[in-house]
Amino acid sequence: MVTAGDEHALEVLYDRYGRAAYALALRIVRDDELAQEVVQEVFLALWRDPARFDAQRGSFSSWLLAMTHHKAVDAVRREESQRRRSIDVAALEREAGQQAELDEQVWEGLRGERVRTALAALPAPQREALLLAYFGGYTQREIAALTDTPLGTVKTRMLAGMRRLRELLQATQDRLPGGPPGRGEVL
Amino acid sequence: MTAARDDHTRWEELAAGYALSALEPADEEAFLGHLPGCEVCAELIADAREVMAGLASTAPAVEPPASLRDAIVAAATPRAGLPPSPRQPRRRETRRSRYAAVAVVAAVVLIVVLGVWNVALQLQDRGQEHRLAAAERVMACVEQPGCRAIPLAAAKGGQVPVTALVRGREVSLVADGLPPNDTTGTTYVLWQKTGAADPSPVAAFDVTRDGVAVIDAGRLTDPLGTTEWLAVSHETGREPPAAPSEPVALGTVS
Ligand SMILES: [Zn+2]
Repeated sequence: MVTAGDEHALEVLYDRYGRAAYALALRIVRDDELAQEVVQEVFLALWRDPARFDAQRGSFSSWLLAMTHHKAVDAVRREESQRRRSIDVAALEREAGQQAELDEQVWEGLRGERVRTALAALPAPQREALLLAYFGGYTQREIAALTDTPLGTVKTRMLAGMRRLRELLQATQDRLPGGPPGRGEVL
Repeated sequence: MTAARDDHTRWEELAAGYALSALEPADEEAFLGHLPGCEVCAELIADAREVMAGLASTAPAVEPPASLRDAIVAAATPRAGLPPSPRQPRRRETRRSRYAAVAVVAAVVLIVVLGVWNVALQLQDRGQEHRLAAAERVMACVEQPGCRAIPLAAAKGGQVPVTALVRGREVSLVADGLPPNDTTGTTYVLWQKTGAADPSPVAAFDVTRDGVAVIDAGRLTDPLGTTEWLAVSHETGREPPAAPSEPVALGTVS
C-alpha cells in the first residue's frame, strides 16, 4: 500500500493515523514538542522502509501504534528522567479510567469506552503493571521497585494482564452486519 | 506441566514485556536471541499489539498541529537531491504547564477543525476527493483481518482499473479509470469463476463519473476460497448476460 517515495500515500496514512499516533505520543511524553518529534520519526521511518510492516501478522494500525509507543517510551527515557518520578500509579489509573471529554469520533469514543470497561474488570495488580508500562514508560524492574513487588511477579502479572485484557476485549468485539445482495450501488 | 512448557512460559513473559518495550537490556537481548523462529512468541507479540492499540484509544483526543503534517510531508519530499531529513527540534521552552493549556485548547479547536475539514474536502478537486476516499477504503481493507484486496488488471496491462475488496462474501469495488457506461443501454458486470462451474454474475453496476468510484457489489455467489478469478465486463443491455464478454479487468485469486 505504501511504497517508498510515494508522498501521497504518506499523506493518506498520516490523515488516517496521525491523530491517534499523536494522542498516544502526547499521553506518554507529556510534552507537545516531543510528541511531534516522535510522530514525525514514526511516519518518516515508515515512509523510508514500509516493508517493516508485516501484513501477515496483525493490523496496520496496531503495528503503527506499537511503533509510536516504542519511540515515545524511548524519548521519555532519554529526555525526562525527573518527570517520571513524579507520576504515581493512582494518577495513571485515574487518567485511563476517565471518559473522553469530547466525542471526537464516535467509533474511537466507543472503543475507548469498551477498553475502559475491560480495564476496570482486570485484577488491580495486573492493571497497574500494564498501565505503568504502557502509559508510564516504565521498565519491568522499575515497576517492581515502584510497586514493591518481586520482578518475577511483575513479569507474570504483565503477561497475565495482557491475556486477560485480550479475552475481555474479544468478548465485546463488535460484529459487522452483512448486507443484502442486489444491484451494485455507487457509494 | 512439563519442564519444556515451564521454560517457554519464561519467554512468553518476556514477549509481553518486549511488546510493551518494558524489558531490561539483558532480558531484551536474551529475548531477541529466542524470538526468531518462535511462532508462539511472534503471535503473542502481535496479539499484545492489538491490546495495546485498545489501550491507546483511552488516551485523550487531541488534534496534532497542522504544522506537523506539513513538516512530515516536507521531510519526505526529497529536494535538490538532498535526502529526507528529520525536522529540527525546536527550542524546548514547552513544559508540562504549556502542554496542559495546549490540550484544552486543542480539544476545543477539534470540533471546529472537524467541521472545517469536511468543507475543505468538498472544495478540493472532485477526482482527488474520491481518490482519497478510495485509498482509505483499500487501506481499511488491507488492515482488517479477514478482508482481501484483489487487483483486477486490464487485459492490455497498465494501470489496474478495479480493485475488489472482499470481506467474507461481501464485495465492494474500487474502480479507477473505468469509463462511465451508458446507464440506459449498457452495464458493467462483476463475474466470479469457481473451479467447477461457468462464470456467474455477482452484480451489475454503473460507473457514473470519470475517475474513481467505490461500488458496493453485494455478495459473492461462492466463497472466495473456491474462486479461480474475478472479472469485470462491459455488457450491452441492463441485465447480466448468461456468459461474460471479453473482460475489461480480471484478477486471479490465489
Ligand atoms: Zn517463544
